[in-house]
Amino acid sequence: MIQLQKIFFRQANFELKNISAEIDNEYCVLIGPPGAGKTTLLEVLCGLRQIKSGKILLNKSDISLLAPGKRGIGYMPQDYALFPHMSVKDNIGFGLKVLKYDRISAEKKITEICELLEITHLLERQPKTLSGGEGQRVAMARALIISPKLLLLDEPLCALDEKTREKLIGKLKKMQKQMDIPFLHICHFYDEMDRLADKVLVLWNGEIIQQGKLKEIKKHPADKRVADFLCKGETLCVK
Amino acid sequence: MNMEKIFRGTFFGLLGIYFLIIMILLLGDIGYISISNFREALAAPEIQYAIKLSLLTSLVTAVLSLIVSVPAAYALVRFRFFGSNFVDAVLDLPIIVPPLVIGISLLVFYQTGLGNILKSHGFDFVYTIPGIVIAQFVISCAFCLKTIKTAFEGMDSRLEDVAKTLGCNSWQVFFWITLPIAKKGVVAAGIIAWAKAIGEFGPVLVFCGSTRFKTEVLPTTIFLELSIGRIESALAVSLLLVGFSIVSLMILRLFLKRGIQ
Repeated sequence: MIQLQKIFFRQANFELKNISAEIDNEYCVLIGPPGAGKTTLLEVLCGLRQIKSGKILLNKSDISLLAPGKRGIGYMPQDYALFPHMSVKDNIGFGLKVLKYDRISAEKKITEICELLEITHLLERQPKTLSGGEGQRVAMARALIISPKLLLLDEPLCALDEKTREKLIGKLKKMQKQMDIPFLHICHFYDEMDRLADKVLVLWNGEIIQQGKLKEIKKHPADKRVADFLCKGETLCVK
Repeated sequence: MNMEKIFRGTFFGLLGIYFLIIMILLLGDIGYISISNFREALAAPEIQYAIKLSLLTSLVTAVLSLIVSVPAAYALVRFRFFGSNFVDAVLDLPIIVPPLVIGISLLVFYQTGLGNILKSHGFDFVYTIPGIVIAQFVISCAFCLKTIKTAFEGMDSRLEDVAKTLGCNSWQVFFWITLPIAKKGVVAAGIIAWAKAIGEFGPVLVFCGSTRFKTEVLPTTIFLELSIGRIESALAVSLLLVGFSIVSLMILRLFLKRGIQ
């Protein structure tokens, strides 16, 4: 479970203001218009940017001031950012190398995660030879192999074709249930959100303007912005 | 003649003219001296000394340039600090300023308070071999830094971010992610630094003089041989430098083509 308590972050002219939220071990989708601060919020959570005030509690431990690698958070950025100078296997095992796993234990963990994500056949390939869907699963394996307590996904499905997206949506949901950790996923597609989200956070201009179960938000959007953003043609009542 | 033909003709024509100018100059040099002239000149002990000294000093300069410019370029690209634009502009100065100015500045530095303190502690490099390295370094390092900076700028910083979330500290990120990815640019920068150093003339002449069997490097040899009217010798050494440049350019292109990432 992750709790965000009155987080405040500022960089140049942009601010994240008074961000408070609680995500259980569930699939949470973060939505909002471009420039709302979605990626910045993920970077703040994984420690790549330092907050000015507030607290981030992961399983009730305060991780606000910890270095990114000490937080126990898996992060998958847009376009997956696979290390181009390493094979798929080295990419996946990189976190274990940093954590100084011995070779046998590392091999075992790599095999397990690859079987789970069905990417064993890709291990000897180079990242540039992977398709979008393959790259997505490799990046996910790399983020999950360090057994994170939270997984952050920055638009993981946006660059994929319809068929691959369909397949991976099911896979993501299944993975979350299997890992039993919170997934926080930035999402731009309505159908994606509809099928994945146990909970939705709506971020607007650096502020969370509504959060809750998707059904509740759809029924009772906080304001017109949320209604417009969510319904996309569907008729939702506006407060 | 249609517009397309005029367009192609004009652009190709200008390309051809510039290419021809360089080739005519080069072939003119080659045609001016015979192979026996060339062998004779290169067999002279003072020129052999200059060749060895040039190779040694340029190699040391290239290594020093890499040692300094790799972290310096990284700091310029990745760290945000007040006055970074000013620092960047100052570091470009050795590229723009006439090389002679660098030589004079080095010479004048040893007349200042700090220079005198260095001199009194045994760091007097005026008219010495280490002085040649310093003179070459000031200029070569700027070229090296610019090349490496371009390599770092072209790198996706999210790769480093991911490495941090996987537990790397800044040193590990740099040596396991940044440097291997930027390897192509770093090798190119080293070759450029070496090629620049071996051909450096102005600052070396002003700061270290051109004493035979002491501080004479290949560019100063050309100057010395010309000043005493030995054009064949000067040309032989010039062609040797052209040869070094061609070899370094070919290695550079080979690396860039293969993409040693």
